[in-house]
Amino acid sequence: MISGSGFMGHGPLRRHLGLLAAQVRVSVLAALEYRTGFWSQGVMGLLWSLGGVIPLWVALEHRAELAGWSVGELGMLTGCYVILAGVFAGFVQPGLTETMDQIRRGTLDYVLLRPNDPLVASLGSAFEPWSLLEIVAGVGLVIASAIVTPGQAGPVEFAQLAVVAVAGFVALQALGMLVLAISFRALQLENLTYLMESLLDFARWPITVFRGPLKLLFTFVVPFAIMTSYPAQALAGQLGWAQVGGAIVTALALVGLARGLWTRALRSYTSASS
Amino acid sequence: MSRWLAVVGALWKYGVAQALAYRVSLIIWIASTSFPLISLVLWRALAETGPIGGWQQADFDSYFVATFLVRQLTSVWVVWDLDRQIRSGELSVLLLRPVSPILHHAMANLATQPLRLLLAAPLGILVLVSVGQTMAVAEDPRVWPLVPVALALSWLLAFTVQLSVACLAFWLTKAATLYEIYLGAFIVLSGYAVPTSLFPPGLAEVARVLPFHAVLGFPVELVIGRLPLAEAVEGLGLQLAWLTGFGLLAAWLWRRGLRVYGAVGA
Amino acid sequence: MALDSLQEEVSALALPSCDDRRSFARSGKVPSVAEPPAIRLDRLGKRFRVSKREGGLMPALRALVRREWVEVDAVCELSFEIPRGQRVGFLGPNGAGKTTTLKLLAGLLHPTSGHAEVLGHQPARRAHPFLRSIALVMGQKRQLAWDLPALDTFELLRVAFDVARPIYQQRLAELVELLDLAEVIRKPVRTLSLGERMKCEVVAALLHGPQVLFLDEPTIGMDVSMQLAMREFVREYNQRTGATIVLTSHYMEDVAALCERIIVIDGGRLRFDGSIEALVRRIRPLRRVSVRADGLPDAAGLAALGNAIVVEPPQLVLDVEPERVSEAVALLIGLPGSRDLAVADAPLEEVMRELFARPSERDQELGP
Repeated sequence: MISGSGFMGHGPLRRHLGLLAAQVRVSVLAALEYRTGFWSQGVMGLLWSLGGVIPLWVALEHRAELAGWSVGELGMLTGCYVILAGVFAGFVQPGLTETMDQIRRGTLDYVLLRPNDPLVASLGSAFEPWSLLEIVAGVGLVIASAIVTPGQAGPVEFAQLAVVAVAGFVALQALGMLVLAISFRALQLENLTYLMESLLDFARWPITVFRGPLKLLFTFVVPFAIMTSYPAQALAGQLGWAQVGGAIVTALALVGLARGLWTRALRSYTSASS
Repeated sequence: MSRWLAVVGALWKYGVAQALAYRVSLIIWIASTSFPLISLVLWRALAETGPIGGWQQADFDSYFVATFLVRQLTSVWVVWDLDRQIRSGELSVLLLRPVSPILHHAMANLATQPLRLLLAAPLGILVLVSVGQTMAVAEDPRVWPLVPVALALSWLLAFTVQLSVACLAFWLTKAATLYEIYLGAFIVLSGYAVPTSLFPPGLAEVARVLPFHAVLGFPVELVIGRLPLAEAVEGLGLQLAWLTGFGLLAAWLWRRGLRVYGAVGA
Repeated sequence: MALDSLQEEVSALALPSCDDRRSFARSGKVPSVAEPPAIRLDRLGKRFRVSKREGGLMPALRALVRREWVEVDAVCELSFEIPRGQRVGFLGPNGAGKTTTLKLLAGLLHPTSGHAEVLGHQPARRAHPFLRSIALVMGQKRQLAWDLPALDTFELLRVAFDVARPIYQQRLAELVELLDLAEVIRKPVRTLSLGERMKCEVVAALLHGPQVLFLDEPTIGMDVSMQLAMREFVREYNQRTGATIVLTSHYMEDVAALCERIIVIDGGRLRFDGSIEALVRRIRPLRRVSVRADGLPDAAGLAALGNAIVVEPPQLVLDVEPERVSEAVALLIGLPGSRDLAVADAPLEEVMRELFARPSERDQELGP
């Protein structure tokens, strides 16, 4: 029997992408097998994302515009929120739940025994493909609102949109990493994803509604501004490059912080006894 | 009777010890229920230029601080614990004890209320002081004795709803996800995110008779004095009605579920 | 027979700190200059901080603001070397530090003192080439996905470890044949029996062809035939690939049948390192003689021969000093109707019981 050899010798990037692709494949196969997920995950998720618009609607009934945002712009913002909710439910939360489950059962050890970055492996340990429905609907909403809103979006604006969209995605994953790092030490863990989800709800509101410390919180610490307000502003042609720069810095800082905490947590890992 | 009290007392102490075992977890729980305080800031900003639908800034302040405190008192999480216990077979251990697992869970949830209130009340007071308001409370003294009743019914209703959903885990694998759907509806329709009386006309009436509102919106409005006595009593009646309905449902599901659980084996 | 029944006796021995203990036992093997050892430990230590408090409400409330910590040394100045290809068993009671040592060697835990070196790597660094060359199988935790066939998890592991497909196919085929799993790997894991599941777990661990295999209680909960099959397989794997095997088990039969060398760990310290025969000789130098006869010697006569263990006519079992065995045998054969005479080492469980009952100063006498 051959031992100690037979490896393909790919670089780390190629290996991790391959690992994520394998996981996506498994998740898609599972999703196709349990087709009720279309309703319970896709449709329901979409309905509640849209249902949560009610407070916004209430506010709009009594004000012509909201903190400088017109109805069309708010429509784009809501579309971005629906996309965010879908990305979270489909590509962040399942991995978090699965990893927390593994920590509780003590089987995270096996993840740590594999020659992959455990953070990437944990975040990518499960996916819910049916949430794509929410994402597609969100994109539709954004496009529809953009058509209705006056103002041109040219290549510069789309470039800005691309940058902040990526920064927002990275920041969301970084928040997920933070949650994982914390969950190494705290053991009753459902609360943590619940916390993230309820905070996420504030991403519906334009960032200009918040003042002072809360505004700073939602722009730089739990940066919902980057995930919803900035993309909508980019499409409306109102995003400055300074803000884009700030978004990149924030996303990178969050990733750095998360990885730092994660490394610390690993070092003091006590590995639940068998 | 005294033995039953002793058992309840012991379960209570056990519940408190469990809650205290994980400090970080407790903090996170408090943080995740501070949603109303952020809403407070939001709606203050919106109401800066004038009242919204008859609600002044001061009204929003009282409403959301009250929501925050009431939420601490009516939080239950039995759906996640019980769902996990049913699926993994841990329930068997609880079933072997001469105490009903339901009582066990009820005590575990209740045991944390005083602690959470103790930790949350200063936060609520701090927020009120920093916005320069005092808490509005019900003016009619006849309403005051109704408040503890409403809060108790509210907790019981929240518990029985979660219990019903958790019992579905005897048959379904993803019962907890069903609860997330309930939660999504709750956040909107209970008055957690915005007072139900501000809803568009058709929706407001519907929302105010649903169990979500009975758990949160009603007690909050009762506390801050926005309900005349007649409406308060009506609201209590509604709470009782929902509680009876869900109570019967939970009891039936529990009994049927135990039979299935026993047949399949953990 | 498991060693859990010794837990209470041994806990009394477990002291919280390394400082007031010494490791008297010396490692059994002379380090070989020719080839570097697969595993080398140098005064390895692991200290845990555990919060503690009394039960009850007031202490719980107090603990909310101020925590009391106790430091527990799970592993204490452990030093030994394991050459490549050796099969080693770790023995010791529950809580002795065996599993902690395995986890330190696999890189799951960071040592608080001392060094560990496995295949030339420091495990805690979790270097890619290191992780690719070791495997850890934990009998009480599973890594296979519950609802999918084992084959699907194998494929995921193939990607995770970056194994070339033809090599993977070949290895898988060999393992499946050795363990007789052809049909089993296509069924969802939740439908398999415990024994089949453990076999699949072992296959999962070996897909990347590790050179060091750590096994933590692999046969726990299995029936006798499964245990036998597992032992045979591990031996076969060791012979075919020359992989180093480190095994912890509560089952004496596993260790006795499989391991050429045993290391006894107790209270986080090394208590003995050598072969089983050497252990038995050191601890229980008496040999066990048994015979069936119609007329047994009287009490005085038995006392003169050795320690009587079982005296139930016609059965007689005695422990006799090695020098006097031939004398005892001659006498017992002479008994009327004597038959079924046997001479053996004391059973391993009793040896272990002796070992853990002894105070630590006696350890000075143990060694190569």
